[in-house]
Amino acid sequence: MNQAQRIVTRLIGPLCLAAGVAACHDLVNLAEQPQTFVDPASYFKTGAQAIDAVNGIYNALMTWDDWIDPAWQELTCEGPDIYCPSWWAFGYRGASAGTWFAGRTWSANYLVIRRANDVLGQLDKVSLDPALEERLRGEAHFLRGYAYFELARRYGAVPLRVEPYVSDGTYGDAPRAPFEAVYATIVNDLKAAAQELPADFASKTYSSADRGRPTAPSAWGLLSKVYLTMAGAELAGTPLAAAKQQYNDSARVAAQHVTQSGWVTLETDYMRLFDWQQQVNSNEVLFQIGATHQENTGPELVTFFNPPDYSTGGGGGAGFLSMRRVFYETFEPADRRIAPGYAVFAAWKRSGSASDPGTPTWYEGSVPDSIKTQIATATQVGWAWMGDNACDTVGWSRYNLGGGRFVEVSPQIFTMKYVDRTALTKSQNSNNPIILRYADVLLVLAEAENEVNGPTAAAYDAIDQVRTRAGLANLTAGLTQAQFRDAVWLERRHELYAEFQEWFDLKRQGRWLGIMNNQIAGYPGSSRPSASICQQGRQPYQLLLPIPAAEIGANRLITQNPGY
Amino acid sequence: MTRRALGLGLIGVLCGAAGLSAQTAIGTITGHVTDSASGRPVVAVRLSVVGTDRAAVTAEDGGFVLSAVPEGVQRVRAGRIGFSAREETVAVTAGQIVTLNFAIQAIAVTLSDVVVVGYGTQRRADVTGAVASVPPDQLQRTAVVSLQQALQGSVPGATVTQGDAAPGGAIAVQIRGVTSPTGDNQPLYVIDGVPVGTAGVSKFTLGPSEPSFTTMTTTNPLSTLAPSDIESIDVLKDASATAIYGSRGANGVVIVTTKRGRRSQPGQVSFNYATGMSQVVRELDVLAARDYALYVNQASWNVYADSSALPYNGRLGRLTPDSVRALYGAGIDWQNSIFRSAATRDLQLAFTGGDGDGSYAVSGNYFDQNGVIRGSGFGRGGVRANLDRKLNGIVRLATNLAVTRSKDHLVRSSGTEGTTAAGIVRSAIRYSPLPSEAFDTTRLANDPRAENQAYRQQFGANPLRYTDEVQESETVTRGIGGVRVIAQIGSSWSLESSLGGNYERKGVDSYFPRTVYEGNNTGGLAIVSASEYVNLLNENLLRFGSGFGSDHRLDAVAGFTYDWNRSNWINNQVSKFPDDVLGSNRLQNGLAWAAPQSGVDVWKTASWLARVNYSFRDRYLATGTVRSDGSSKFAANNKWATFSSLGLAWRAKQEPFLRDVGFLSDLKLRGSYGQSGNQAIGTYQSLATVEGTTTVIGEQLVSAVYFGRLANPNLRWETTTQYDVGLDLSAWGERLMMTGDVYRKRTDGLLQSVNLAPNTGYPSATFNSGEVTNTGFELQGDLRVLTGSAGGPSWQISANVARNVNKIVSLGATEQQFANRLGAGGGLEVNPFIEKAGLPIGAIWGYRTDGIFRSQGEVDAYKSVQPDAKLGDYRYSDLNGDGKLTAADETMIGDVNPRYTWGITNRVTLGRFDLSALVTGVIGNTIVNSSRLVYLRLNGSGNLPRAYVENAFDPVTNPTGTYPRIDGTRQGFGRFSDAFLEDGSYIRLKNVQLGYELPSALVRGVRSARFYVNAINLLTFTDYTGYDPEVSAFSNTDMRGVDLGSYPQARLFTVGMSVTF
Repeated sequence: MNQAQRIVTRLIGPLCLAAGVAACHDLVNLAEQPQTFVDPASYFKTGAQAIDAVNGIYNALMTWDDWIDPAWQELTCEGPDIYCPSWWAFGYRGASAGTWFAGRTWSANYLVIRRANDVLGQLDKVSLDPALEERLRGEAHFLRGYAYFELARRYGAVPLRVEPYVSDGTYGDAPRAPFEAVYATIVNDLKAAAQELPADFASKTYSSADRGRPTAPSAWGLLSKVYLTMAGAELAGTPLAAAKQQYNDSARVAAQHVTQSGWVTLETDYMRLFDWQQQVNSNEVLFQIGATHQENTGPELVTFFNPPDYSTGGGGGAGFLSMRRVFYETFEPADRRIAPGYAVFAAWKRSGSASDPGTPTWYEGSVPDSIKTQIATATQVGWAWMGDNACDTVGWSRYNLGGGRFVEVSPQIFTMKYVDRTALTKSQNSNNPIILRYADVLLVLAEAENEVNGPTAAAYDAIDQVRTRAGLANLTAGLTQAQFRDAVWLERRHELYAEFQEWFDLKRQGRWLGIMNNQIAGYPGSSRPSASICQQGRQPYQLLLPIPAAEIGANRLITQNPGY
Repeated sequence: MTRRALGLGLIGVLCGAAGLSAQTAIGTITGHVTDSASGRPVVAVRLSVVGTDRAAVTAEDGGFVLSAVPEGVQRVRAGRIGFSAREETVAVTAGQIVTLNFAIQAIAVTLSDVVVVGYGTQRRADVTGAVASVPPDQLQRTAVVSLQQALQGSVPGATVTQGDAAPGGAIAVQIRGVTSPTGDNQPLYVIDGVPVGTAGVSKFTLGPSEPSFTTMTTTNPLSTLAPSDIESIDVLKDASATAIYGSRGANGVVIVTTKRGRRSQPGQVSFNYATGMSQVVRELDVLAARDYALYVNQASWNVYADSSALPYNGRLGRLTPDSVRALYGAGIDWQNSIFRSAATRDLQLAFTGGDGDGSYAVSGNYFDQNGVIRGSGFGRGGVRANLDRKLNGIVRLATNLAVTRSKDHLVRSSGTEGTTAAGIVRSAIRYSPLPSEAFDTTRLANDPRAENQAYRQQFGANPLRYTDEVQESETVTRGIGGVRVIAQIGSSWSLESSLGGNYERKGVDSYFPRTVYEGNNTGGLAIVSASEYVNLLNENLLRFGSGFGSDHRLDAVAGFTYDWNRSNWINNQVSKFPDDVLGSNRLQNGLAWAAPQSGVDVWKTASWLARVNYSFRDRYLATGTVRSDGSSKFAANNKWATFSSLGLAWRAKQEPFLRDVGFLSDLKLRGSYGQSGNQAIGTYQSLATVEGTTTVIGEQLVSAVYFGRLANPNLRWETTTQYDVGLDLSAWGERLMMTGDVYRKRTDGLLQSVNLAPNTGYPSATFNSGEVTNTGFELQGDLRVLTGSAGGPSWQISANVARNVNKIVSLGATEQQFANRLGAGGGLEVNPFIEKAGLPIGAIWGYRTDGIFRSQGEVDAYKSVQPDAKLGDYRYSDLNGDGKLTAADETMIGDVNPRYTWGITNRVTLGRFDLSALVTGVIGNTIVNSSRLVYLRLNGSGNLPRAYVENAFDPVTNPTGTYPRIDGTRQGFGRFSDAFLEDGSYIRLKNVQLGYELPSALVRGVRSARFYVNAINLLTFTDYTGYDPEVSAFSNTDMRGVDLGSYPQARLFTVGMSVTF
């Protein structure tokens, strides 16, 4: 305002009251000029800005609604392979509405979807370098397809949003889409991504700095799992079920796109996949959720999967999740995936303190070698598979170290997949949760091939690649189709232990309820104490997670999954 | 005055210049009116020239001007409620000014007779709205530490809750209920005409887990104001009164006037000093060592029934409960370790006085309060200068400026992480009384507090580490003040222009050493955050006041105000320090850091306002107010809103038919209707955003952006419409005074952060949506049992009671939504608070318990409904009878809003002694006692109050027990139920003071000297089982009434004196 205007304002100001209120209002400038964010209208002009906006989709993956926790937590205890304390995850009661984390992955995946929709909507409006634009569309399509796949497997038929959200006067009313429509969206997105994404980290606009982003083989690989799911038990009863064999074949074909990519390959060293410094450069990992040592950019896996030891990762382990004995015993002894000191912790300990030897005390610091030495000279005074609330068995050996000190050591089996000795806190652990890797795709290929053509050489070749890497002999020749199927399913459990696949696999295989309720005889490692006070089994409604209260409260068109 | 002169005057005030001289017609009388007892000026005295229509009212300095008085000897009458009327004669000469001073004598009344109503003062008798005043002696007769405490129990309709009793901690005040589930719903505080603003500083940790409070204590933005500086407090409640504060008046307005000097008053020095000790009101009776061991054994026995498995079984070197007692006696009393007797000091030195043209009041104060939890304390020092100067016959200048600095040493009394960082108070209960469990004796030589690692893993560091080793302080530097120019133009017109403002700088420095959970894994954790808030306020007012004939009187004020606010903040978090020696002082020594965060907000408000008071024959009164407010916070086309109100009053006593009713001293019926607004949302909420962040691609952080918020082009003001009907009555020479009000407030267009359905990908958006009503009544009475006439004893009882019913009429398109969960870990992952149409804000939602299963038969019979049923567990009611326990069986199980709030003050004087006692209470509110989420597990993990163990059901030893069976396997409840709720009603002897006034002749030069002893929180009667029922851990409105192991209330004894020279 210049001086003259100011004077006019001051002189006229009081008089304008008489002239009318509206006239007065125009004298004062109350427009907001934000200083901490950008106006969307003035954004999205350059390729760099478009890349940043796509990066914003990835940003939604490592959050406290998603992969820091609880995206993996809610999957952890819904199978018989991992020993879980009763309070962890959904505990012995299974999924129930109202549990604090139930529904967080719903919000998390819709956040991914919304950001992908926003980016795709903006890409329609701007003109960028075509190669870059195609790649960015590919990333957005891949991430949206991935998010809908996560939603469909967890919650069933979910509302579909494929356009940028514009407020429509409701607080988000949206009906469920038919299950087949959700899967159609997933397939379309991943097919589009497979065409749009660079074939490797040297094509289109990708460089090695883009490791961590999906490539075309990532899209094909995820598509193969989607097709296998579409052929599975979860879609029984929908119109898709009729095309079961067709989807098995599509899974096979999609997986072959990966095997024929030319660069995607198995790591020779299994545990290198889980080395936080190496995994991002692995040619086996097809999609992973990026983690760093920055605060709140790493999953809490260390705390739960590691033995009680402060040195194995930020925050230290707490020894909550270990391998169940019955499952451990299904591995062949030579299997490198349970090799002590390599894939599972060789020794860890808890001890009684000298002053009060009766109370077990978690030991601070990791000194496995010295413990081994101590144990070598100590007297074993007991060995027991012990249970949490007598519900289940894990266990430890008890050694008397002399001087009133005891130490309790393995065989409680803790995986070494999530170790980051340089992290400071539990949400700084740099272990990338692996969503899809080549071994998984090979096992999808083996399974799909077996379903379509029976246990062919191609099927054997796919599973044997995985077995060879684990230090095992080739699978016994001459299996029947059913035997081969069982072998692949067991191999998946061994290969992908603690990689968040167990619940989805069991549901797809149609065996989850039977196994959780101990009704399938001969399932390797399924035995559970039958008359336990805390084992309640699972109910059919728990095949799907509850729709979160926030969705029910605001979306008038949604219905809760039956049973909750 | 001509119309032209009015126009010129208007222009003049806005230009900040005044060059008009009053016109003299015949003769002029000027003078001052003072109180004959104290010599202080008396404001709002009506002066009239008998037999003419000439009249005037004294200004704040007691001065008046009667112009155009006909020549000759005139009788002038000075009258004011609360004072005996007086008449003087004076000879008026044409063209001359004569001086006439009055000294009028106060007649005993208790309610302040002049009320500050916002942009002016009014005689109480003329007020048409609901305005409550804190009795002037309330501040002086109660050793309050903060302004809000003075409201407790003395202002009907004000619910005052000290949520966390840490020294300097925030005190929540709600006037006539809460109007909105968002924001804090606190009233607007106006100090000497300047609304108090504040800006928060982050007390969240940025990791290592979900963001969590470093301390739950929020500091009181008004704790920087020394109560001894306060002259009066007036609370505006209904729309007629608050509409003049339009946009910000919806939650009521508290107007604070600080002390000023008096013109022509000889200088005087007053000195106040008080010192005292405080102690926690109660400690909880927890299990001593042997009982604790027995309880832990019981938890194991009830599961395994195997004596060899008992933790204290005497085998393998283990102790037995009896040997525990032999070795340790009662064990460690952790409450005794963390609580202490804490000293308080308060001193103030003030100089006041004035000459014929000006006055001054300059004071300095220092206050220092140790907290009853070790390591906590609050200190404040400040100076204030209130100066007035008459520049010439027309222009007067008034300034006030206060600068204070306070430092609050905070302790983590409660935490939202339930287990390893549960907070000092809860860990003092939970920590084992057995030294061998709590401590690692092998390491005690190096570290006298070395915990046993098992214990540490489970319960976090011991509470003494948090009191003594964690450092957290909040330092606040605040200035508030302004300068005001007042031009008196003739006897009827005056112009005011002011420039004022607030400045606040806040810094929070925290350091968590390695010895506690937060710093253990991070190698020491320092969080240093700072914020700065600047507010500038310009007000320009034109006033008019005149009588017309003997029947009519008109007072009016109109003006324009503009305020500008800027707040910025920064937050740094650094960890991995080489050692814990330097704390947060050298951030650059740390090796790891979270990305610093910062932000800037700017907002502006502009207002046009006008108010007219009209009275006809002192009998029919009307007040009309209109204010048009613009706020930058709203959407482009909705920035402005106009709020208006109308108040009517009928002073029935002035009617001829009541004039002769002797016992009735005054009777006034009031009614008002009007609107006020609320803009309590953050900045930029109507705008869509593109926000920057980072993400991880290939182990590297790369920049990223996302669309952060939905635009809301319809965002507008939240509006509260209020009806009020009131009655003021005094009788028997004002020995009985009563005020009653009935009101209904309807707030619509609620500014809400509405939870959107997550399928939109947006968690929430700010909408105007929904409607809330508050309906209630307030009753206040003062009874002078003994009047103290002729130097005899006096006894006065003041009592008030208020009832408010809060109801959400609608939430807009949302049917219901829940407030945030209480915390993480320790069972705190619950969302007890629901917002739902038909229920109050503060409704608690959950399952109803129906006793506990007392036999296996009962369990088996109910197993189909409650599959996890167990002997000795709670049975939950299947309310809809569908044979299943589902969300449909949840219902409203409590309400944090009290049904009644009340207070009674007794004041007795006898000779030179005076005694004042305030009893206050609330009735019918529910408290979420979050500790019960843990205690009721009764699983042998951690210590707990004795009553839970003694009342635990056992089929053999205690078949009638009301709490669940002791069970080592119980990990939690899975369902939030009424078992975790308690009634928060209480009656409290809040304040007692006994004073003695020294004979003034005793020491030469001393005008007055008074000594007193004071006790705060002397007695409390309640059924609540926690430390204290006056508790509310969270400051958000939708999560009030949670006891999270908050800082307990203390009992404070002080002795003090005030001396005037």
